[in-house]
Amino acid sequence: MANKIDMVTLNVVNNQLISICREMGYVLMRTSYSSIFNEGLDFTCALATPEGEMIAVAEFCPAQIGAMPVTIEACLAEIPHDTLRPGDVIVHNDPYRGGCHIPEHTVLKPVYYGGELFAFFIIIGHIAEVGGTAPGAFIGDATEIFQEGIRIPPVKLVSEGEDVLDVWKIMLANVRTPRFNFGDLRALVASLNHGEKSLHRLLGRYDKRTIAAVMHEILDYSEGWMRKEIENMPDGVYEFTDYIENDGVVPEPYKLHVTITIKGASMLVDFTGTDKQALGPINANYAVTVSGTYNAILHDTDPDIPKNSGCFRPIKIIAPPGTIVNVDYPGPEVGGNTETHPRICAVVHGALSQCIPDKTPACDGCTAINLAFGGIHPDYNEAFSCYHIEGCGWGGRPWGDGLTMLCIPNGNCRNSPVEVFDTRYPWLTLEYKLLPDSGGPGKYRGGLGSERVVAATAPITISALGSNYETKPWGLFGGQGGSNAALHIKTKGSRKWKTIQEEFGTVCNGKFSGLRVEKGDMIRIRTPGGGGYGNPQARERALIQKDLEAGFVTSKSAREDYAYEEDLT
Amino acid sequence: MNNVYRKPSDKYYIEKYVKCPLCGKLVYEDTFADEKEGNKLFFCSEWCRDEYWRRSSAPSRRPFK
Repeated sequence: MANKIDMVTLNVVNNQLISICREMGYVLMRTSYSSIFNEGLDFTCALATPEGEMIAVAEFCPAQIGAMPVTIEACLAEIPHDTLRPGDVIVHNDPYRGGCHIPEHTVLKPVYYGGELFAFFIIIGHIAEVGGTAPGAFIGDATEIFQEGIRIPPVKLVSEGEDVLDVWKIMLANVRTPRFNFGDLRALVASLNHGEKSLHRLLGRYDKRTIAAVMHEILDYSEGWMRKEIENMPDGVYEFTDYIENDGVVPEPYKLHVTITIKGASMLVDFTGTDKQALGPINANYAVTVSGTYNAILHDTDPDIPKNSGCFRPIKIIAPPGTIVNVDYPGPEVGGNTETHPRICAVVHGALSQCIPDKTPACDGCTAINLAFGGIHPDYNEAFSCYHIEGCGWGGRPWGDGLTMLCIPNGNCRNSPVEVFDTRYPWLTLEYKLLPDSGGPGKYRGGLGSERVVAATAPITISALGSNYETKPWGLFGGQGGSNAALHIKTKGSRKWKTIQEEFGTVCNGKFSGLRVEKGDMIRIRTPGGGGYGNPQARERALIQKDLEAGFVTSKSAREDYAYEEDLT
Repeated sequence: MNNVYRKPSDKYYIEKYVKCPLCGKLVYEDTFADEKEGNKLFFCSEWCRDEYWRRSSAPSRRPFK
């Protein structure tokens, strides 16, 4: 039986557990091979109880945080506790068994102490290359899961400290960049080992019963805090609808609908009324929908609530099977984690804006602007495969402007610096800038989107999966929408920018796969700005002048959207 | 209690991904199983089972589209 723990010890030990998870992230950052790991930081490290409840997590990629309990449960359903041994590492990436999407690889390590299973360390990390019909995993026009890459069910990657060579061989034989994948998988295992050693050190400092008690009490503590937050929201039923413009296969919009019921200290988030699953890869699965919902709620509640499974207990989610929020096998779903996840966040914010308007933001860019590409690098004579993301504008908030050119809320990833991007891949970056007037006008303006122009220095195969090329991020309470995304190509010798649809005849501008660009071709990527919050004419005049001086807003927009004449004195 | 997590007895592959018909969560065991018109339904919790039947009797608010 666990001890009762005082508040000081609870917080000190909990923060040490979180620090271990952060350290694991730094190990990954410093030892991985792919830029999506060591530059993008597209991973999350956590600690869980033997029963699979997440206790501590490092603040890397929110898309993976809420999904962790679902993923752990799936792993343990197939590899039960009595088959686990010290030194084991399980690997898993199957989106139909609790994974987010195929690139997100889960690795799970049981930690034993005194001969007993004490905890699990778990990492979900984005492996850039997973096989499939084109490099980089984002098959924007996939129609079934098999086109999206190799699925790994929960299996032992390491058994009692020894590599399970057969599994490594199968995994590395099915990807275009085995050396990079090997390096990233090794980094994941090294990070787990670091976590295990650090936890053993902590167990040596405190007694086992104290740590175990903290692990269980912190869950109750978070649950209580979240219940208080929900209790402070007015009871009621709040609904919101938004649309994803197309699925990459059929050029028609898909509806995403949510009904949130607040009753006392509990919340029911029900996606009934959402469209049935898409033919193309915008489908989310249950883990993604759960994660997207938690993500939004964590944004709209006290940021100091310890992030663990406890704070999710008061929230029940209904994601009807066979819809775009819970795809049935074998529907494609790689974009569910990057396009539908932020849209799920957006509709949850939209619904909650009716009951806690002082806490919820307007819509962000709602797309990762996924660009996946690969080929043979002429300088290194080696295959490369890259998953690249761009920042968008975030929505204006009740207390301030939206963040500018930042990876959407599900990713929280960094962009690759130009120097790294151009060195590691055969592109030359020609322009990279913020887009004036891209942030939706509002009392609190939406954050700005960006524009990047790159030229291919070798033949490259590209795929894309993005959104908001036709729709705009919405504003709230009189705030206006942000700008659209756009993707253009100018082939070598041409003077005209064309959409991908015009040049290649794809169904959609932002979702396609396996297109070849030649040396000298240029690609222009524009990302959406965030929606504005509140009436633009209520914006502080000094802030508009500041925006004009910074080049964030043009004189025309200041005049037309904000009724403000530039002060040239 | 039987394991319904879609595995054949040899555990080589998945036969069927079983989801709770209300909330969509994967179901691993038949603890909250029920039956509708001869078809077995596997719920993830007592709450989902009760809510499913409550909604089924209210045609204006069915859980499926």
